[in-house]
Amino acid sequence: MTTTGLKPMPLKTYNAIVKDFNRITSFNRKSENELRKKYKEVPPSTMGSIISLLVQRSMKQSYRKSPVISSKYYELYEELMKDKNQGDVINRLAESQGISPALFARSLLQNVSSDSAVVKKYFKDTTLIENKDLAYQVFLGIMNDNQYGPYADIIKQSIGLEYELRLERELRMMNISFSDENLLRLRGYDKTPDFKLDVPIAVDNFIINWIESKALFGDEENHLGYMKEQLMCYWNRFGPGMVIYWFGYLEALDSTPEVNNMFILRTNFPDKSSITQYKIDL
Amino acid sequence: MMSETILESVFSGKLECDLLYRWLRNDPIEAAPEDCVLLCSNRDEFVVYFLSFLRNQTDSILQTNSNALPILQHQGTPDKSLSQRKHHRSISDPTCDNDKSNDSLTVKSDRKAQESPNRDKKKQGRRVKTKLFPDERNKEQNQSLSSDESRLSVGVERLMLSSTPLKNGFKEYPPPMSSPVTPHSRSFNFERCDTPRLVRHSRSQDKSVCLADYLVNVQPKSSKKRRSKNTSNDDSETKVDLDLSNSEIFPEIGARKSSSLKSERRRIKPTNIDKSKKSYSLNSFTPEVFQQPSLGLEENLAFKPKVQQKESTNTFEAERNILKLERHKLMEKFNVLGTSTSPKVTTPQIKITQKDSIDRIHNYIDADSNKVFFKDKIDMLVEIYDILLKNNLILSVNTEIYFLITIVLSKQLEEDYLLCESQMQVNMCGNILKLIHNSTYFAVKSLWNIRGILEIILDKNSLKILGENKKVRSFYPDLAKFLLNSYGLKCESELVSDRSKNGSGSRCSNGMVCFNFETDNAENFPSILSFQNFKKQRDMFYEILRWYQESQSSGLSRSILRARIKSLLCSGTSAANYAHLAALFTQMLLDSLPPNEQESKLSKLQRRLTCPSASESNRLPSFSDKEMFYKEFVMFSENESFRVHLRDALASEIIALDSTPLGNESSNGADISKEFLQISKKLGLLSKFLGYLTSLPYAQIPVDILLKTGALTLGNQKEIFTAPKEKVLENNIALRNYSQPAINLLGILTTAYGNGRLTITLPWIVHYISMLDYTTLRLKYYQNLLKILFHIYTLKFEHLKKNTLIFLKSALGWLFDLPHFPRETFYEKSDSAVINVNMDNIDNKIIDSYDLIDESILFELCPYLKDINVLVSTTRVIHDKDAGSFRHITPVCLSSNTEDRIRNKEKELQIRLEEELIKSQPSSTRRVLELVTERVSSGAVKELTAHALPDAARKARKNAIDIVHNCKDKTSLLQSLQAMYAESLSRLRAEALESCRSNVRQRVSTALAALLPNAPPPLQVVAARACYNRLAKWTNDHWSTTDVLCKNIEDEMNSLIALGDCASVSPNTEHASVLSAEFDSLHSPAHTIITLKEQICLLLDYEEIPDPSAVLECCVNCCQPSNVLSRPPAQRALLQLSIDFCLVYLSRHTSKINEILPKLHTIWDTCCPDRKRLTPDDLDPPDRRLELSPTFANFDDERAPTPQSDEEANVEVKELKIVIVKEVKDVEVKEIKVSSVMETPSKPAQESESNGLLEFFDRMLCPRNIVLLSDTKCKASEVWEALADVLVFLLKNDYLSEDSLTEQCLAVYRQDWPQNILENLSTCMKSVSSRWSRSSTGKFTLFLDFLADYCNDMDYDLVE
Repeated sequence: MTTTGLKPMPLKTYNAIVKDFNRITSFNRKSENELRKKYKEVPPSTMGSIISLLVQRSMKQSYRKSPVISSKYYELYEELMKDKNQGDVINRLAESQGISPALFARSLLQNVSSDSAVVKKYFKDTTLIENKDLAYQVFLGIMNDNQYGPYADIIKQSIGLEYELRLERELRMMNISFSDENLLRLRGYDKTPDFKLDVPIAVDNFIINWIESKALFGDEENHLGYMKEQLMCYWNRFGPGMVIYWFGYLEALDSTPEVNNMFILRTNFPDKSSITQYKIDL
Repeated sequence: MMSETILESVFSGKLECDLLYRWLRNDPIEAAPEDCVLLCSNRDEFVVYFLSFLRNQTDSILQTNSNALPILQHQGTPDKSLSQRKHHRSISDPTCDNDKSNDSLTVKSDRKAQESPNRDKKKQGRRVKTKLFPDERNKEQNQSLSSDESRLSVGVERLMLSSTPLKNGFKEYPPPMSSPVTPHSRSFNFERCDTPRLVRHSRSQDKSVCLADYLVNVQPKSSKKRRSKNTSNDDSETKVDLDLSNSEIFPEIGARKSSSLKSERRRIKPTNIDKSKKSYSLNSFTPEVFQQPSLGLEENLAFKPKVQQKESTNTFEAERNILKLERHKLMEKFNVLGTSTSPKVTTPQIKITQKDSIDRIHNYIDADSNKVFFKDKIDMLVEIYDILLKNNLILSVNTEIYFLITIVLSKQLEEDYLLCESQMQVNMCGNILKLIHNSTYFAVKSLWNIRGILEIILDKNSLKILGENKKVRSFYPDLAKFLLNSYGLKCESELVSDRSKNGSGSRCSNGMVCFNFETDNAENFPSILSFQNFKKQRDMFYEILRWYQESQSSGLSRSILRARIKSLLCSGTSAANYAHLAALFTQMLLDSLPPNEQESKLSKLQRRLTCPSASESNRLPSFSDKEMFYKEFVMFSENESFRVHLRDALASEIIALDSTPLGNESSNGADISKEFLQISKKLGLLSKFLGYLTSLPYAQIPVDILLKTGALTLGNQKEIFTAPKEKVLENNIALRNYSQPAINLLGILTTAYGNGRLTITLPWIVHYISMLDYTTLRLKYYQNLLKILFHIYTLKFEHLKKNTLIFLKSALGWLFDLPHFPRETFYEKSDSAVINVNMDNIDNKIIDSYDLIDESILFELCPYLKDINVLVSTTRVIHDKDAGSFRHITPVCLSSNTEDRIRNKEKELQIRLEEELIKSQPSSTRRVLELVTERVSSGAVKELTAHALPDAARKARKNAIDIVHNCKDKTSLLQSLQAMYAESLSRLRAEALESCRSNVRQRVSTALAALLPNAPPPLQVVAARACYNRLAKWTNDHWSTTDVLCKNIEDEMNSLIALGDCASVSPNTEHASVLSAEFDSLHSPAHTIITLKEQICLLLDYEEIPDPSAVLECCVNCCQPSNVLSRPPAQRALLQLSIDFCLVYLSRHTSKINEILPKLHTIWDTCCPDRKRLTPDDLDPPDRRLELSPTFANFDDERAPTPQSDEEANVEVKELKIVIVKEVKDVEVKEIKVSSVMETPSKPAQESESNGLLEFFDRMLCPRNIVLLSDTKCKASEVWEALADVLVFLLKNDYLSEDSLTEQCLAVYRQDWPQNILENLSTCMKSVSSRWSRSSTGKFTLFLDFLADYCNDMDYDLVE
């Protein structure tokens, strides 16, 4: 694991990525890989996170969960499937519909059962699907989608956990005492940052009482969301704190009024040299 | 009138001075002749009369001062306000026909006057009556509309502002009730006060005018001026003009006269932009009131916008520049005009410019010490005055000081002088102080008498300036010397204190209140919903606060504020939510207090420029900028329920603070002072809000109206000063006379008095009272309270330090001087209701006798005093300082169980003894005991949960394993387990408490030995027992069920049965740690999943992939329990993907699969370490099979038999009925006996140990995978052969059971498949069967062969 943090991303770079992303016609892993290839200088996880955010936003626009739409999708699917050896049917349909393959696959599954629990189960494990062709197609759809599907979910969770643990390790190694989310929840806290420091520390002379780990890229939209939902709430309860966007964040965030005022932004755990701990002198 | 007679008699020598003095001092006057006037006079009446007399005498001089020049009073802004007040005319005034002046206040007072017996005697009283509100209005209306408006809206403010008679100096507004001195009850008093003016302006007096006049100044064409002129019969129009300028000026006391303008430039007079109260600043309120922007001068307009941006430093600079310009202009004008010796004004006020046109040249007479007549008579007056002051007969000493200083700084118009001179020749007694020389002599000499107070409440500069004042020097050189000396001392001490205080400032808080789980977590709420709601409310509260602060500069929309507060209150309406919100509000309010910090020079300068530095003795209760948010919040939270909770929260906080002990054995004087200041500030703030809340229902102007009119005068509390109509007042009093305040103020005050804590308690009570509305103050309860305050005011308090005394009296004086204060009460003799506390045995330890108040504290707590550090140079030594603090604490009840008492008298006695013991301890000891008890029991609880509980749980599990092992009868297994757990629990509880006992004892004794070395030993027992009780309670609460040892005994039982021998006492006790050294070598599951998935995709696309072994190793790493980064879901995903990878790989690279199978095996083995092996030997005896055989009867059961569907989980041998239903109706049934022993027990085991991960292998032959395998470019036979390899491998390694494979095969055949696939499958099965030789019975292979054969030609059958 690298200890040198990323630098905040200049708006220019970010905008270029967004521009290129908007040219993409499909949301499968291949187009994603092409985009990654183009921005080799951007770390893969940063790139992955940015793409993930952008895909999610596009899907908010173009994907609807309605049964009407999913039955239409199913008609399209069946039409294509009449012809054997069509290969990757779902991928093609998803591309034509401008949604991600996994989402399309899930939409199809909604036609298999009206019970959403069953749909969920099938989606999670395609070997359970009885319709052999559908099962295989859904499997392909999921495999070709890096942003949606059971694996994507687990990846996201797992990454979040991983970086929380890394942070925890850093804190423990520095002997910084903290209460983690679970402990806080146990004690009945209403809002719980990832780490609430038992004894505040100063990072580059800014005093922090809590640390929030974000294993993703901080752009304006999600930062604002976090701020409203989490960061301000933490401030309301614990005072100033620190947010770590492990995969970097947009340079422009540094100039928002809350930053360096109510909390600071970092891309990694600060160096020992920039941390000041409270020392009890007798 | 008697009082008048007394004075006349003294002047004429009929009455001996000494006798009068004695009488005033309340000493016996046996020597008095029987016909002595004193015997039938009332002392209080005399006081009132005397003060009025002084005012009347000097009125013309004061007016002159105001007219002519700025320097009336040291106070800046307040002056204005003063000027606004209306004065009644005095009866005595010949000129005044009827009083037209009417304030609401006046009205009230009138009423009272009428009620009072005295009134009959006084003609004035009647007159007063005649003035009623309506009259005023009429007049005003006549005069001008604008004035009328101003009255209605502003009248209140004016009233409030002017409470002190001093203000009379501003002729414009005769104070109505005016002097603090004058009780309402005496109507004559009012008149007297006014009289002087009348004399002066004779008719102009119709004060009418108050506000209007004031405003006039500002406005070029003030109708008001005219009005006032008109009304006044007076010739003296000139005066009017003069007035204008004065009112606006705020020189400090020390400020130089107009003449000083040229010579002394260094002092900039503060502009009166009081941030907190917009309404007061002329600039800001004029437009609103009159809604005539045109009225404003150019300067005003220019000035206004800046004023509004209070906070920005730019504003200050801008203001300064404006002031400079202004001054420059003035200077020019003066030059041009070549005006009189007294140039107009140094003040920055804009008005002056306007006035120029009106200005006339006057000749002024300056006081001359050589021209004083009747010195002996004046000396008598001085003496009387002094006696009144010293005997606390005057309500506000500070007010008197302003009055005197104003005289000193005044001059007299020549014409007036001449007039007075002639009058004096006619009537010496009635005009003795009218000459400037005489009055100055009087003032200076009186000042000398109260120099002790002067030196404290004047700031450095004021002392210097006053000391350098020519008049002071010539009239009374000693006073000048004294003042200058004081100045010197103060400079010195300031240096010292500057040094000492450096770096002691506490930091500002974060501006939020920390979440405290002991008071804020879910347990503190009645329901989760309420808790969740409060979560939102907390955030909303801060959001509103931030929004408020941000939008303040840009203009705040009150209606939005109101809406936001409403939605905040609506999002959680339970009582608990309001209570928590109120608590949050209270804490935030306390948080808004600025920390104790020495003012920086910059901020001092800023303050000087923005607010009057002059004394604010008349300042009305108001809210600072920071407090405004909270005030508005209360105001717009139109929710009585919330307000009640807020009242409770404030009250409890006040009570807690009020009883806080000050200092301790180790703290020095400075520490205690600091503590005191902090506590006092908090108390003052909280009680101000509590008072506000109390008066709110009675005095608030409906919010809707406020919003509509836009006339939000938020900073001040004008509504509380409004006197209701007489009848309304009566009704209200009758209605509310028995209501009580939220806090037992009377009790607290008397206790504080008795305990010598007045310094702490009195000021906040004063703050509280100051916020009450007119009516409330007149309720019985408060009348009683006020009587006590009056009583305290008149006490001498010999044991108090001088500063403390001045502090207390200033606070009281300020209160008594408020416009709505019922002064009449002061003079009502009340024999009862006064505190009877024996102060003889005061010890030195009481807080009141501490030297608490230094100059900065005095200044900080009494903003109405001069805002400059006052030097304290008290030399008085009263008592020893070093004494422990007196603490007032309610006894702590550690443990007193009533039942015990009844049961056992001996025990009860013991308890009482214990109580006595505790009571007899100093409060500090009691607090320590409480603390030790709390901490020791908390520590014990932690230890119990950390050690005793897990130990017990482990033991219980061990027992459980034994029980399960030895158990033959499974029906009673659960019961016996439950019994075992219950027993374990009770043992745990008993042992835990016992083990704690010694531990607790030891800790308590260690702690107490360190903290209370001298405490009697029994205290240790007391504390230890208290701990023990707490622990017992805790264990009862928390260890009440076996859940703490085992969450679900039944589940535990099943899993133990399943585990069999494998069960261990502490499964998975080793927790992976982030601190382990291998951390850095751990692979990221997320990354591994991504890579593996990508490779699968590449394989599917027939693209090249790198050597898979790397990623497979990563998988192994991720699946290891030592990998802390991994969690079950990730592990599942990895296993699932690795199986998929295996299949995809064999479909693309067929035979190469064998190369990676070992790697995959490692992964799988890591994920599923607990695969149950078939151990046929374990099989149960065959008799059971027979028992089960009936199932065979169910031959035509059409269910496809699956192991899962078999409900009899405990069956060791299963009959598999295989029913193959073909469409042809040709049903073939094969019965196969499969020994499925293992399967049943192994299922739960799998689930518990491997999270059912093995199930993924149960779907190797699922439809999807068959499609996957068929969809390949490789040769089919190779692919299927490779699959056979894998299947055999899986069977060999126990990933796959024979049953499972059988099931899978059967399931495959239930679907339609192309013939080629069926054939391939058959081939595959045969291959597996041939290579799988382990089966003990061989039936499995037989079955596979059968299936293969059968299915191979199934299609043909169909075709045929």
